[in-house]
Amino acid sequence: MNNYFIKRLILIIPILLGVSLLSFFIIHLIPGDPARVIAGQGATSDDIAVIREEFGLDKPLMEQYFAFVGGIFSGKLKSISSQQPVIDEITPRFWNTVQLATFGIILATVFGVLLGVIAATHKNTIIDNLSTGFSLIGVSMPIFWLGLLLIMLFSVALNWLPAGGKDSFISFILPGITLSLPTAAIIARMTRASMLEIVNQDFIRTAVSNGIPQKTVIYKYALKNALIPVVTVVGLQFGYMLGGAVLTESVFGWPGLGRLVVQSIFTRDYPLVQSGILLIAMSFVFVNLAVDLLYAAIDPRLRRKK
Amino acid sequence: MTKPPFDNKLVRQAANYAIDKKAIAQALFRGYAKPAKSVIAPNVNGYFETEGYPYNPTKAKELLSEAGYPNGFDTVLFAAPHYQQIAVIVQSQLKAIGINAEIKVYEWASYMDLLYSKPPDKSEHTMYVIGWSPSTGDADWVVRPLFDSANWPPSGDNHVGMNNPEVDRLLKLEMTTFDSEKRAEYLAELQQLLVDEAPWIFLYVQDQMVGVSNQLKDVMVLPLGVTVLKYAYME
Repeated sequence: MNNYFIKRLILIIPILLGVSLLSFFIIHLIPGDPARVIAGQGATSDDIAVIREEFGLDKPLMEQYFAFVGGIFSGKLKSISSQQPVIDEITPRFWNTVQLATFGIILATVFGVLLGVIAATHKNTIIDNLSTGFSLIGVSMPIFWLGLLLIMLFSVALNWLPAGGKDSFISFILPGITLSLPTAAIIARMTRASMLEIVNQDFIRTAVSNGIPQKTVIYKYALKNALIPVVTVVGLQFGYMLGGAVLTESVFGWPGLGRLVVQSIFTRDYPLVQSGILLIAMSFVFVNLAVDLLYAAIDPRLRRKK
Repeated sequence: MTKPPFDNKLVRQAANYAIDKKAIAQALFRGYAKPAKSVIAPNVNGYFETEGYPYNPTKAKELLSEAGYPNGFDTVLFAAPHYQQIAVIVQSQLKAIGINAEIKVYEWASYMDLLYSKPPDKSEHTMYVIGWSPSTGDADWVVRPLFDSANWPPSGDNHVGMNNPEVDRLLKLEMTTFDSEKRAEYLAELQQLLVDEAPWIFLYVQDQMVGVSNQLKDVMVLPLGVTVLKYAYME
């Protein structure tokens, strides 16, 4: 078992290498000159040449790549738009995204699991159908649209909640709900399906026939086992939330990393885009690894040597 | 203006008559913009007001026929995302006189590449939407970068492709004259010439608008489009 995880840890190195190379080269492939974008209209060729030199854009690509990789943590790598070290720009934004994603995943898991369990235990009743309907809506509804609707209702019409920004805990509510809804829907479906599968298994029948009260059977025996595949989904969704909260961040003006990366693509801020993508990829890889570890920890069957 | 049919002055003038600039200013800016009557804005030093091109689709069609395009023609209208609304309005008004413009939207960095990376006669752009503001507040920093034949991209901002010896001559004069009255005369002559040549469809001059809370005092808004908060304070 340990060998497996050591192997996984070692594999992270080539994965990160691959991601860094890919993110570096992809952004260079699209048309558009960062020096010219920063210089703006009315700049002379000399102005542009100076900017290019300052950010090493005139050097050969491989040299730029090494400058990128070497400079991220040393602080030497600077954002073209803000001229601040990239690490100073990315870190606080990443932290904001982590906070929002954590809040979102907690909301999604609590709500999703509850809904899934209720649906499973009331299978084929109205409650079940409602839950299925909710899941369908939650997965199909564009996050963008949902966010705007929530703003229109709670910020504009009722003036209860802020429309954007990150000022206090209340700022988390609307973006958190928006971000969590599709995931809650997925988790609800997953939980329901998993519960139904477990509930038909022999050990449940045994427990019931032994006289154990139904509530205990459901919450102590069935749910625990049903949650195992759900853990995987939760982990993956958390990884996605870390990287993909762009839409939610844009709608709510949340100062997160996703929005920063997208904005940097428009200004061709190569260092920011590359570092941002690398950081998001890194977090996804580590979240995945953590999920696998957790999975092995909670499911003893996986620990058994074959 | 290097590419046919826009190398024909009549076509460019026809396009100007075809556009209802007052309507654009009203529709897009609710009156916080005014139709452009010259190549520079009224607050810029050296402004000379010309007649401009009032909305006249009949005259537009006449000019188009005279130029040899009685049935109009097809072309491409390039825009950046924030110019898209303008492009759509212009497209529909051009269609009314027979010019079918296909809109191509490029995001800003690619748009700058499109306009600046090659000289105008070699690049892809035909008709396009762009704006300008002189950081000096003086007419020179509008007319010279945009219309001097020496300033063709990639080294300058003359992406419209103006190459007119008379324009160059007047530019040299306005740049080297210290007598403000004489200079104003040159600039007036230059603006009349430029408006007549119609390298652009002259659209509008936009008002600066900044939203400020009642509690925030001493916010400075410069005509350049810069908002200065250095001296601002909350009450």
